[in-house]
Amino acid sequence: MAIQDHLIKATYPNFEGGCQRNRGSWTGCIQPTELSPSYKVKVEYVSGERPNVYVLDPALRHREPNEPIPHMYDQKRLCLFYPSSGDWSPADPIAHTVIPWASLWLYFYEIWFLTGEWLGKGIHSE
Amino acid sequence: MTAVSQLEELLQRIGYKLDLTPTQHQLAEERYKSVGKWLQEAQGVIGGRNTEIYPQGSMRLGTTVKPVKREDREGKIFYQEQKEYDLDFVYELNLRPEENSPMAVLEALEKRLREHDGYKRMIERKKRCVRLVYSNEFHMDILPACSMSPHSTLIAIPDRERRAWLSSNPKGFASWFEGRAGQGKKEFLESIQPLPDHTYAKPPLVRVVQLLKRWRDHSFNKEMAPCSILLTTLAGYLFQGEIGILDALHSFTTRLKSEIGQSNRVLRVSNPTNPGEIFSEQWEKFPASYREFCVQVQSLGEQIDQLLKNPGLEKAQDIFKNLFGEASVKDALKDSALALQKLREEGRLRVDVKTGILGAAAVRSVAVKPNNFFGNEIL
Repeated sequence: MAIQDHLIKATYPNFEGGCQRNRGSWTGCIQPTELSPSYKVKVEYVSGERPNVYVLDPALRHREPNEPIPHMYDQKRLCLFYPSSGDWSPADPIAHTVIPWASLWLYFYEIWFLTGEWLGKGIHSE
Repeated sequence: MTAVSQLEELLQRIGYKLDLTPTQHQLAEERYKSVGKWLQEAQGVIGGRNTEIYPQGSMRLGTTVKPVKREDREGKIFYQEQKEYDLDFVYELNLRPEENSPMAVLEALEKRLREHDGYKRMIERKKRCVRLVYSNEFHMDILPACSMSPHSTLIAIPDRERRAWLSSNPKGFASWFEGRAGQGKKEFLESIQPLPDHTYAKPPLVRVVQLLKRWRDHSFNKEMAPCSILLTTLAGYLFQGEIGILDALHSFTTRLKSEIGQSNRVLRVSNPTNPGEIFSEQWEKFPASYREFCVQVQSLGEQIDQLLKNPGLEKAQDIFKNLFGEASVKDALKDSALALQKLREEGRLRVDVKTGILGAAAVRSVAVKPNNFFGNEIL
């Protein structure tokens, strides 16, 4: 956990937060492209479990009231990898996986919001 | 990539979507050459080996524009549907204009095309040419012409209404335009070099002309719309080697507004390679169309200014949609997302550590490892 904490803060100067025992939480800003707003995101991690990523500000938007945002868990957390695919394991640094994926997710989210198509591929579970 | 270079990429991609596709382009090439061969094999004034068929206008300049579709004009009152690309060709004959009647040449051309089983069903007679319609793809306007002198590119072209030869200079015009578009070429090529894939990019002036034509198709009522050669010439005159499309569009509107503001009279635009040929004739005959043009240029300028002042993806989408139609922008956005997805699949995508910005070449960056977005889409 201390390594995760160190790598996140050392890699992304604008990320703040820390860890206590087996829990960590970090907040920072990600801007997927120069034309995008800077999104404030929060990463929560409990040792050995799947890290959770939330977008705090600006809030994510739906295209239509009844149309879900693709690739989210319960419309709250970003789904950045397929749990059993081996994309991610607790041995992987969050700084080199989850955070870049969050930026990528936000990029495809923006394109989805404007075009209605998710062009980042991925696996859906309806 | 800076915000402006990202907008630049979008505009290049919008332009790319307006181009003939590579397949359509090849088809057009094959077809006009077949027409040329058919004409050359004819007997009499129209045939012979010393004749030549060649593209002129947008096909020659690389400024073809995909026809506007109904859905692109959603919410607009004025709407004209065009199904095909408009491609122009010159069939240059080995004749002296003073020894031949323009009407006889037009008739001979049409007669020869009617002798062909395929072409005879595709013919439409136009003011100065004969059109072959390839339904839903493109139509080819074949303009018969006679060289006026072996020492120049000037040609004589027939006009049905005036029953006379008029002078024109499509080859000269193309060289002039290429010269204008070639300004700043070195800087432009350097500017696109860092892009991972820039095969979709064309010189800014070429894209500016396409975008102006699409803006015209999208924003003007048919009777008011400035013709393509007029827009192309204006853009060529006003271009000063800007290395970006957005910058060039901005300069275009700024300089044009200043030209317009200098006089109460209608702006006069002549053929730079044939000064007697006035391209702005329509404005003189129909001043309301000139006033409409001035209003639209003002609005175009305001929208470009807004975008430069406050560049953002959503804003850009909004403005481009308004200027060029929803489908064009959507397609361009999709293309850029697919290009990024491709980088990702090739393992070339990186994330800038200071900002989280994605790209192929960030300096202080980490690689984006492979992943699959997952989710249970419950609202």
